[in-house]
Amino acid sequence: MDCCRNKRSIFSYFKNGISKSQCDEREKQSKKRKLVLVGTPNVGKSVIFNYLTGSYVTVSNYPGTTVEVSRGTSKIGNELYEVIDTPGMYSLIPITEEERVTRTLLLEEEPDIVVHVVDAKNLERMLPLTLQLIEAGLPVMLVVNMMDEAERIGRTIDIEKLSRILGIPVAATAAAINRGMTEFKRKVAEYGEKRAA
Amino acid sequence: MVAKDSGVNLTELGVGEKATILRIDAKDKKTLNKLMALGVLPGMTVMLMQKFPSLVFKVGNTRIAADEAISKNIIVMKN
Amino acid sequence: MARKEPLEYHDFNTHRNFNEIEKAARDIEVLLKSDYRLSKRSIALLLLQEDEEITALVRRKEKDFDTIDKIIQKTRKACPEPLQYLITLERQSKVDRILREVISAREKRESSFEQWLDDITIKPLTGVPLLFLVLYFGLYKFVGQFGAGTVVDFIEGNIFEAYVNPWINHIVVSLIPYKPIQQLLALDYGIITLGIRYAVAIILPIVGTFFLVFSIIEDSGYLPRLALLVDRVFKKIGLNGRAVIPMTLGFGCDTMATLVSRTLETRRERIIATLLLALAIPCSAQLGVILALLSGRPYAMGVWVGFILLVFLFIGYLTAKILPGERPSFYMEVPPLRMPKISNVLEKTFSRMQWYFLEIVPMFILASVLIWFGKMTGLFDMIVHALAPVMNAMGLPEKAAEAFLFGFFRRDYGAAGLYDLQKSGALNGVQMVVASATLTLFVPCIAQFSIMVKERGVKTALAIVGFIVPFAFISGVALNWVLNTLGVTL
Repeated sequence: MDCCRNKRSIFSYFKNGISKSQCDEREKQSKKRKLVLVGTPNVGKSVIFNYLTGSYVTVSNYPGTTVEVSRGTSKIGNELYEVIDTPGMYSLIPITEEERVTRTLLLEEEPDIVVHVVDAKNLERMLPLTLQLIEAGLPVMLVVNMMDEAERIGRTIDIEKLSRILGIPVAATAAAINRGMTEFKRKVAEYGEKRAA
Repeated sequence: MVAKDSGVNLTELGVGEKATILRIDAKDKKTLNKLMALGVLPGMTVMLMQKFPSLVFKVGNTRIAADEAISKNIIVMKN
Repeated sequence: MARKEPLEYHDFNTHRNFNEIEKAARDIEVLLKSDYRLSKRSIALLLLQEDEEITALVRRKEKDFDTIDKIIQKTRKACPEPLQYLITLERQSKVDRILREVISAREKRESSFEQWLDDITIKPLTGVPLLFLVLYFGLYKFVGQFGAGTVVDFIEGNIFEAYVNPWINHIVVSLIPYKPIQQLLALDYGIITLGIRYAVAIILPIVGTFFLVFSIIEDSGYLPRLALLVDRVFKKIGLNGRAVIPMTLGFGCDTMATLVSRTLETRRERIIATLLLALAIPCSAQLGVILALLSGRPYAMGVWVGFILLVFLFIGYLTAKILPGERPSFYMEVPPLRMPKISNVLEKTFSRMQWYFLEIVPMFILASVLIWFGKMTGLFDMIVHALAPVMNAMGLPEKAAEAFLFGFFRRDYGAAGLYDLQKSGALNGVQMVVASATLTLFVPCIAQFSIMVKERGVKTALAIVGFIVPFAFISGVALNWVLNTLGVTL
């Protein structure tokens, strides 16, 4: 349902009109660590974003574009993170404006952690982006979401092994039913510490 | 690679029939990219689920709806 | 070691060209001297895949771009297929190999009920009737009867007419001695008694119930099914199934839908969608009032629905024939049906209502002020008089012109004006149908028009409105003539 992915951000676009003053906050956030969420539409990215950030979220147009990007703050481990939710992305080679913005954002924002969220049922077609992100030298970690739905179709995934093969941290979650989220947060904190060291 | 003249396009499959994707003959790059991003790739097994009003087919665990013009670009070999 | 592995593209021999691609990538890597933030390997591969942005960037940054370009051209010539295609394939086989090691699949045992439900929503034989059921219960029963009926009656009758209006009128009249100012704030067309009342009592319940239904439909994964069912019909009007999303949203708010139409792929589709939204899709507020207006007369409702549908298809067909440009293509993922999460649905509904309310209340106040101004200066009466012949041609009383004038400020405002007219018993069935149909087609509201200008440009927006206004009235006259000639009473 990728066609619908804009809808919420478009409403937020209006909300942005009211919350302009909050933009100044971004200046203050510059000392925080940065975590960027990427992934295709419909993998539960926004649920994870909401879980991390709670209600203090600002939405703004990415400079010079009509694409909206949400930003919030989250305390993960002992550190404050600026969490950025990006529009849907299928591949590192952009086709749509949304994807172009996401890639630019990955370049410009210099994130401390890039969290790639994927659908456990469709790992086959989502893992190529993980490989591309790793290949690009970005600090990637993988979230295999919708584990419950994958289990329902009889699929089990060896998360440890996947993490070993890819050489990056991997978390398994079912964000919609709040499963694995604490563990995911712990892995982010751990990765953040390791990267900072 | 398989010779270009073997295989049929997706619309020529019967409902419920399975086939292996041989290649994608998309005219424009955008369509090719989008299809590839949805997991429509050579070597994948495709199952045609319905033909009307739009084609619906399954590749991996992804179900995709597409019109005839696009489906004709997907060249498959019946299993 | 593991870290390095996924990056290699020559370790399988699925295709002889991968050695070539791998070698080219390595050669380019060496030639890249600047810092790109992305790894050089990644840049090299993107260059080979003809990524325009990266190519432009490298061309700007590297002195020796010619050598790089030569390698790219040579590799491209050596491979029979686009490099992006080959690299994607190779990456996919890498992924498949990884996944063979980590995924184990047991016998699939999908719930048969879910499977069945999933099936019947996309098969045309069951899907189309189901679609009408969703529309009937979601739109007509819930939004039309519950939202626009029960809730509106309660808020309007039990709260505003019983308490708020008399109270405000009393306060205003006793505190402010000037009649004009009294009228600006209260009485028949005041900011509070008309503007705020319409916004809170009529529009909010209707829009709120619509957004609730839309969010549930959206979160359940039903919209792509809708898209695949209507794709064939939409192709005839120059759109593709994907456009069903802005179109359906238009039944909630055309302004919002016009904004969302930017997700359509071609400019041609965006223009057609904008035109059809402005012309033939009534927004929920308007729809709610019109449904309430015609609710006692099923045949009148039928004529109205049929007529608007006819105009929608006919104008869409015509525009698709006239406007140049490529034919739209349709493809989208069909996710499984899911039980919507209540908190998500509520959050979405709330943020949409919030947006709507913030957009609407200033407009209602502005409209009240303009109407007040028009009344005070007599400008309004002049326009209403000037419109008299048009009203006559449509077989409507002169007073209906007021509703059309209001409709310019807000779509639903006009419909609400008709509602008042009908309550006073001034309209018969045919007149009500003609008035509702014309009003539905008639101009987009101010907010929608401003978004049209912003999204499609002044010229296109003006051209669309320039077409719609005369077309709406001509259609009204034609419909009136046909109904009267056939001697229909509704």
